[in-house]
Amino acid sequence: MTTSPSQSERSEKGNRYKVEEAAGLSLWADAMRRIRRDWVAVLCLFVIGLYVLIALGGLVYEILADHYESIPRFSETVNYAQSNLPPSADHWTLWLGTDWAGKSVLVKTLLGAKVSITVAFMANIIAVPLGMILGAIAGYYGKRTDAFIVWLFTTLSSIPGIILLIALKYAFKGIHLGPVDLSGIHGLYLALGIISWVNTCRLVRAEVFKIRELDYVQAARAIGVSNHRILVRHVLPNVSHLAIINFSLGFVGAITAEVILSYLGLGVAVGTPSWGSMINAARMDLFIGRWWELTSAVMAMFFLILALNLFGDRLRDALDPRLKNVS
Amino acid sequence: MIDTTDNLLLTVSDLKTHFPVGGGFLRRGKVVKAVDGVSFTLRRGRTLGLVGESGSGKTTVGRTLLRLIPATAGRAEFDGQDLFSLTSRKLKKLRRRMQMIFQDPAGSLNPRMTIGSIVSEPLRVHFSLRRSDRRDRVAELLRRVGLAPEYVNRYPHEFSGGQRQRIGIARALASNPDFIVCDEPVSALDVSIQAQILNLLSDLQDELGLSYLFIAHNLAVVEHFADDVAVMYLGRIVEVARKEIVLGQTGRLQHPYTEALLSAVPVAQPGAGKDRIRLPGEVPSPIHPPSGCPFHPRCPLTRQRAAEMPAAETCEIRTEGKLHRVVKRCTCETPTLQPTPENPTHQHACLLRQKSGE
Repeated sequence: MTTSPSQSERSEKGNRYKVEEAAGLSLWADAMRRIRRDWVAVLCLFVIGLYVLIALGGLVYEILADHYESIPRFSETVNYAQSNLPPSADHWTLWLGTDWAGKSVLVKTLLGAKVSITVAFMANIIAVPLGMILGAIAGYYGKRTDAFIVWLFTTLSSIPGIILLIALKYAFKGIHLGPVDLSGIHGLYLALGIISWVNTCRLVRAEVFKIRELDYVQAARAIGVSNHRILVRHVLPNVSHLAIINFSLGFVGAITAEVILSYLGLGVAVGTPSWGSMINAARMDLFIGRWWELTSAVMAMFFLILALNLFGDRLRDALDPRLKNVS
Repeated sequence: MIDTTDNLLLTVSDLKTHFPVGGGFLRRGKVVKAVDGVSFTLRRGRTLGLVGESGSGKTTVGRTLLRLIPATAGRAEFDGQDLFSLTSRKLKKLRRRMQMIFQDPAGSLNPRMTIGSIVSEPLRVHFSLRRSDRRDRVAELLRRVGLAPEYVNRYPHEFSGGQRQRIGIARALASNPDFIVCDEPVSALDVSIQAQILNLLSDLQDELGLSYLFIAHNLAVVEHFADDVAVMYLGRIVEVARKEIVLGQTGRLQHPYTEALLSAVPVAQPGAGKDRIRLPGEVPSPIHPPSGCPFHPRCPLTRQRAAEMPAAETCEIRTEGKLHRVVKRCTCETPTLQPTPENPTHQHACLLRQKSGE
C-alpha cells in the first residue's frame, strides 16, 4: 500500500514522476513479514524446526547404523541388566531412564519424532492437494460435479475417523504395489490421507463458491479465459492460504492418529520406536510406578502439537485476507 | 438511436434475464425478473447511458450481453452476429471485441497477480505474441491509461482506487475491443478521480472509436458522458432519449419516472431542491412486479390524472398503507416503448402521455 496521501497523489498523476521498477510486495511476502514480527509464531516455528531436525537426525542415525558395524542399531541396544532404570544423570542415555529391555527411553523418544513427522507429512501430502483440487472443482463447476463431491465427503465424514482408519488398515493388509507395501507404514500414510482431505475440501469448496462470483473471475470469463485456466490462475492461488493452514493443522490430526493406531497395534511395525508404541508399552507400567516412558512420549507429543496448533493459528491470521488489519 | 440508417453496432431486442429463486424438493421456486423485455440499439463509436436505481437490472443487462449470465429470452445482435446462439469457438473470438470495466476496482483485479500479468492476460488468450512484444504492449497500455510502465511487477493492493480503475481499463483495452460495457466505472471513486477517469474514457473513445454501454445510477455523470440515455425501472426501459433532450435543450422528457430521477440530481444553488419530486414507496420487488405499468404504484402523474377523471376509469390501490386513486388503465395495460410524434429518436413507455392516451 502506498502510505502517505502525498505519495498516492503523486502516483495518481502517473508517469510524470520516474518510478523505480521494483518487485511489488506480494500477499505472500506480506504474510511472511507478519509472521516474522510475531514472536509466538517464531518460537513455534523454532520448536517445529527442532523436531524436524531431530527427525532428520534419526534418519541419519539409521542410515549410519545400516552401513557401519561399529554403530549399533537401536534394536540391538537391548541390555537386560539395565532394564527399567529410572531417570538418572549417570550417562546421557539414562537421562530419561530405560524401558523393560534396557533400551534408552531418551533415544527412543527422539527416534519416535521421525515416525510421527514422516507419517504426518506423508498423510498431508496426500490429503491437502486432494482436498484442494476436489474442493476447487466442486465449488467452481457446481451442479452435479459439486453434488457428487459433496456426497463423497459427507459419506466419508459420516463414518467415525478412527473406525474408518482401522478398517482401511485391515483392508490394506497384504497389498503390495511395487515398492509400496500397503500393510506397513505406507498403508498408514494412505489411510490417513484418505480420511483427512475432507476438511480441506469443505473449506476450499465454500471459499471457491464465493471467489467464483467475484469480479476478477467474471473479468477473466469476459476476456475468454478457459475454465481450466481460470481455476489454475485465478481460483487456486486465492485459496492457497487454505492449503498452508490445513497442512499445518492437519499435522496435528495425523500425529495423534498415528499414536492412537500404534497404541492399538495397527500403526508402525512392532519394534519401530514411536510415541504410540511407547505409550502402548507403558500402559501397565504406571501401576508399578514406572512413569518415565509414558511421560517422555506424552511430553514429546505435547510440545510438538502445541507448537503446530499455535503456528497454524498464527499462520491463518497472517494469510487470511479477511483477518487483515485486525491484529 | 432509432434511425437504422446510422451505423449500428449492437441491437438488443426484447432481452429477458430471469433468475430462479428459492424452490427445492417438490416445490417450485419463484422467478426474479431482473431484466424483462429490454430493447435498445447502440451506434458505433457512441455511448449509450443506462441509468436506473439499484435493483433496476442495469448491471444484469451488461453482464447478459457479455454472456456472463445466460439470457432467458430475446435477441442481441453484435455486428450482425446473434450473441446468444454462438458456438463456444465463435464466442471466444467475439470476446476479444467486447470487454467490461467493473464498478469495484479492488474486486476486479486478482490480488495474487501482478499488474503485468493482469493486463497481459487478454493478450495471452487472444494473440500469440512473443514475450518481448507482449511486454512492450503492456507497457504501452499502461502508459496510455496514465500509469508508469515500471509498475508491472507490483500487486493490485499497492495502488489507490483510481489507479486500480486505470489498470482495469488497460486490461479491457488490451484485446483491442470495439465495445466496452462500463458497469458504474466511477461510482466507487472520489469525485476528483471520477472526472479523471471519465476524461480518460472519452479520450480513448475518440482515439480508438470505442462504443460504450455506460451503466450508472447517477444521471449527472451520464449527462456528461453519453450520447443517448436509456432509463431503466424494474427490469424495463421506460424512456430512451438523445442527450440534448435529457439536458433540456430540445423537447422535454416524458416519463414521470425520468422526471423524478432528473429532479433528484443535486443542483449547486441554494433553495433549488425545493421543487424536487418525491416518489412514495420503494422499488417493488422484481419477484412480484406490479401489474400493468410497473411504475403505477409510485407514479405522481397517474394520481394527478385520476383526480380529474370519472370514477369509472379509476381504481384504488394501497401504497405504504395508504389508499390512492390511480388511472385504471395503468394497472392493467402493459406499456411499450413508443416514439413521440415530434421526435422519433425519443421513445417512452408512459401510457398516459402516449398518443392514444392523450
